[in-house]
Amino acid sequence: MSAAAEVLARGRRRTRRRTRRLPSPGLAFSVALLGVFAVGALAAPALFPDGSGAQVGAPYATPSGAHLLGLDDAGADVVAELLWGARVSLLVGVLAGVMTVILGGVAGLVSGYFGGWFEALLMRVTDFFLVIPVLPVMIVVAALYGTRLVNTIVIIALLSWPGTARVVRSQAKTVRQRLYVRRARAMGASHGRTLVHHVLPQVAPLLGASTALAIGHAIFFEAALRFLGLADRNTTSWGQMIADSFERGAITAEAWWVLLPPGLAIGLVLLSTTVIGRRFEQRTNPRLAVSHLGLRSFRRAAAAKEAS
Amino acid sequence: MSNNDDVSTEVPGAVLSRRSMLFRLGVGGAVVAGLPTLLAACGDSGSSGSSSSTLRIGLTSEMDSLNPFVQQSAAAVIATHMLYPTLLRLEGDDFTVEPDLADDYEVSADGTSITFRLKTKAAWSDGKPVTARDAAFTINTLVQHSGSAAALLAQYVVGITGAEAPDDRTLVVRYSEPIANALGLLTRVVILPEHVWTEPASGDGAGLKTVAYDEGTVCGGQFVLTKYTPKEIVLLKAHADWYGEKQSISTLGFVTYGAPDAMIKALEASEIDAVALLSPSTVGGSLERLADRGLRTQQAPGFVMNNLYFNVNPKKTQHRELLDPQVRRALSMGIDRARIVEVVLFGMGEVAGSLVYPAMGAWHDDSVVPDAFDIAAANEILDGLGLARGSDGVRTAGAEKMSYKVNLASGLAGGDRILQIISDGWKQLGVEVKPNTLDAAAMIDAISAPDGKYLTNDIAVWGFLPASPDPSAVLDHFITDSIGGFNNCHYSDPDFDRAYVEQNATLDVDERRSLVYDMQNRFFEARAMLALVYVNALAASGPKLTGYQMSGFGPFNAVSRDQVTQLRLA
Amino acid sequence: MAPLRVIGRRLAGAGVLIWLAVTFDFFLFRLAPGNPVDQMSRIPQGSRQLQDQLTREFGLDQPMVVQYVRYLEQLSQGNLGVSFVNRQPVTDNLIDAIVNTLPLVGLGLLIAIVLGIGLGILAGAYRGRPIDHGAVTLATFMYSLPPQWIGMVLLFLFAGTLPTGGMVDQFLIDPTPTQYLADLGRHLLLPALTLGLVMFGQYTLIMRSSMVETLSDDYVLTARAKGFRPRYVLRRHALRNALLPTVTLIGLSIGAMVGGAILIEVVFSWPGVGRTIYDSIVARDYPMMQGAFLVFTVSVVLFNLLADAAYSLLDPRVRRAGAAR
Repeated sequence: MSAAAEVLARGRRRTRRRTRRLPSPGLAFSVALLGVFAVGALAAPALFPDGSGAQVGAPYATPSGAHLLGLDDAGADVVAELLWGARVSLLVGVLAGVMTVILGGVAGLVSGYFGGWFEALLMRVTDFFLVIPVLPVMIVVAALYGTRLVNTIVIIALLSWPGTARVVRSQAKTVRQRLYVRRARAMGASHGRTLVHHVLPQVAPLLGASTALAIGHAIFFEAALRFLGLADRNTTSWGQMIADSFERGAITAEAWWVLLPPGLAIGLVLLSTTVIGRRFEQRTNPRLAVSHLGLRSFRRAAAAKEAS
Repeated sequence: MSNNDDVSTEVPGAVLSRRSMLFRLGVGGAVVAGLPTLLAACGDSGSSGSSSSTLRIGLTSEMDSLNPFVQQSAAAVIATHMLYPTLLRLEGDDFTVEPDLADDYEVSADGTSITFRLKTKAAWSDGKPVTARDAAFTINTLVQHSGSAAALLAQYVVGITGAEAPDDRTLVVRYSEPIANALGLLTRVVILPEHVWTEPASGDGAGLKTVAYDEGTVCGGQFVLTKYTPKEIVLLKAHADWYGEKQSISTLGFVTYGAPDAMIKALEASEIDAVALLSPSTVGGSLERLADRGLRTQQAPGFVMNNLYFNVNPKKTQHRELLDPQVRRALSMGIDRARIVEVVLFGMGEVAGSLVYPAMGAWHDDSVVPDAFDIAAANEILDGLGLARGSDGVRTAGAEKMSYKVNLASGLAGGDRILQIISDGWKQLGVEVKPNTLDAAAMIDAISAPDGKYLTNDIAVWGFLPASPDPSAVLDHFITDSIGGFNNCHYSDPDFDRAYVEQNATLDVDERRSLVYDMQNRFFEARAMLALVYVNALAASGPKLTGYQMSGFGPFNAVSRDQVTQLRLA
Repeated sequence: MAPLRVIGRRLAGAGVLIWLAVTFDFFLFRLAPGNPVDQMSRIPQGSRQLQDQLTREFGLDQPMVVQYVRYLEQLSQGNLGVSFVNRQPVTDNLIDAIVNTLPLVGLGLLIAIVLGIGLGILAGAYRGRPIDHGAVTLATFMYSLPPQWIGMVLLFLFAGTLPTGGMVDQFLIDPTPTQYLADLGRHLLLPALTLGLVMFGQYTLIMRSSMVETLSDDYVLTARAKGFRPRYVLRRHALRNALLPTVTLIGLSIGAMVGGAILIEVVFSWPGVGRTIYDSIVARDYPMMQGAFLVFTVSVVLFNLLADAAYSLLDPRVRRAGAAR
């Protein structure tokens, strides 16, 4: 191991300890928030047994003690709609997002690492997906295969993974050129071992970020398809709530209590998943805790070097 | 007035482009649909440099084309009508026929020819006179190419064998048989300048569809074209040689908005002076709110109808219990139409029964009463038919559960809310609804699937807007010949077909009315189509516009001239 | 390897890609349920005869393979065909739409890049500090918001202050160029801001990620050890490498931009490419759909070629790897 790598390793160990000690209000908040949405989604049938869209009063009634976020265009409680909608939005986001990253991550990692014809083939495939306009194709495919929820999820994942694959491959390609990776191979590490122990940690941060982004994508596309009227009307979702408020004059009615919650809910959930994703990213790749730009870490590294 | 059409599409079959979304947005269909539009006034308001006689009108439907052989957007039809003379027009709440380019007319005793005397002072925008030859040329062109290039307009020249111009001021139109609504149909025919259109009309007439519109286009109506940008604006200016009553509006612009909310905000900000037909289901139920902001709203019983269509093709392959009119009647009784009016239309509409709208005046038979919402009575009927409930509460018919895929047009304004209310009611009957949202193109496919055989569809929810206030415009949807077209039910009744032909050729109004009454009763009893609600026409304008008249087709339509000439800007 | 051969191979690859996409689109559209003829002939008195006539007119009576070959022939002559809906050449329709969309996407992208990269650098350089948390939180949150919703909220907030629809005030009479541009700018503000707000978040996140990666690299340590000041190291060493993934991402995000543009153009009544694509899908206007998708494909391919070129200019390691292969 080179002196520099040694230095890095020591610095890394120290930083990791430091990182662990740090309390993280953002993380706690994110987990709590997701927990609230998840519990709310699970509890929706118990709290609002009439299901989504049940009319309880006059359309666009303002918020009151009985209905904290007022009523929507159909006279349904906005809180009930939010919770019922959470079930669908979260399900679509997570399933489609995870599917996207698994497909894209594997493709990107393998092609970036091995290169050669394997890379060329995968790149051509992703290239192809990249040059067709995703949302328009989704519109066509949704029309073709119907608007059932599972179709929506699969369509989103199948059309989204190449983006992740591209970015991951860039990173993997760069990583594989690095000295210590080449050295590990030279010392006899298998491809699998090199991939998992040397390349993956370098790519993991990107995967973490990608997962968050992919969940965002999935929820974006679900909402877009709803907005364009191509979704399963058996269920409501946050995207459906946005679509309804657009189509049914919520702005003219000045019904901010109908307009704001679904968009904010989407924003908050995605924010939380990303914060959690970043945290995960720091754990799996301690190297991220190192920045040679900062004076303190520079001194530390330099000191370590001297000591050796 | 405009082309006939499904509500969800603002146009007949249409292609308006934004059908499905924007469409749902308000437009939903209907909205724009019709002819509506309104005008506005404007003035010195706002930041724009408009003069005080410039009317800026907002629309939620776009103008697909100004070419009458191509256009399917109702809004575009209105604009095109302003560019050309018509022989006759319809005015007032009851849509009375009045002279336009024709000063007077005479119908022959047997009803097979009509002779028009035309005004002498009419001129095209290039200075050439408008003569009877232009009219004869136009009508003959429509007849000649009715199966091809002029197909969109063929409905207005039905029964016409030809037209001739014995002299410049006299026009004779000949019919193969009397047509009850002959005059009404002629109000829809715009007279084109022969010297411009001869060449495109030659051969197979394919050239008719490729005529493009720009500033130099020769027109002869109330207005001439000054600017046309598809999807953005149609700007017209008053035609100096217009043969009719002078209007005070010197410039008229139609601006397209993608979202009703954006359009209303623009109206509040005086970026426009009025908005065209709004769909009640898209305005957030906030008419009072609009009034508080200084806007004026008007509504009138309208021509948009939202309906539920059963497939009644006797050959259908599944859910054959729906072929029983008793089952369909029970399902009709399970629909809370009043709630649809209250929730979906925010109160701006009426529960519906008859195919012939109340807005059609005396043609509507008041004795056709919509089925009342009565769960107990409906359950009794279904129980009586032996359709027992399973353990999950859903009834079964034969081997099948009464669980139906309902095809819903994504363009239907408030469609998912309508379906939700239907679903709520039917659940209490032990009948399950599985919504399947489709855009218009896919809807047409699904309704007639497979391959136009009408076998697999069970139920569809859509709407429509007729092309004219004449009852034939809706009755013709359900004749056997319309299967493959607007007949979403595959309804086929030889007696209904015969009555349709007969009423269409009956010139005596009372006689025809009794035939039309019989037909609407007969159709209602069959319950192949369940009329759900009649949607009010709704429009809004800023404070500066006066003389703005509402009709069932909106404050602006393609057959009235008065709606424009009476407008005044403060 | 000779650069010319590399370029030639790249271009050939791009050509094949475009052909594949064109083929995919062609068959995808024709498999979708619904067809233009059924819709257009759905008129009172619409007859079988009319349907047959339109079918012939559109060439849809031919076997699909024949249609496909004809389409390719046409395409090879640069002819995109005629729109079924308005019977005008597809090229003309598309040019109108593209000209309308460019200012929207241009300004939106500019807002996104400036905000995104700027915030990303800040966050990366001040890793772990409040400014990092703030930037990342903001970027993630904005990126998570649906474009149509952002547009609606802006509409809700700014209606009355700024125009809510259209590109320009069509009633301005003979505006001077300055007036015209000012008016266009006012109309552009809300939609472009919406697009910018939607897009910038992901640039920030990726920029920050790669900054963080880069800053932990050995050569940064080396540079610092040589006594270069942090700002200099940042500019000369870290930034160039950190930009790599971001450049890739900007190329990749054209698709998202088109998606966003569809939604935003709907909300703000903007007569651009997004709405043209959506409208043509709804009408099953095959020539317009094919034309619009083709334009999209070609622009993504071009952008990716440029991004690849920029990539090898920016990262010597990749250049070396490419040469070694």
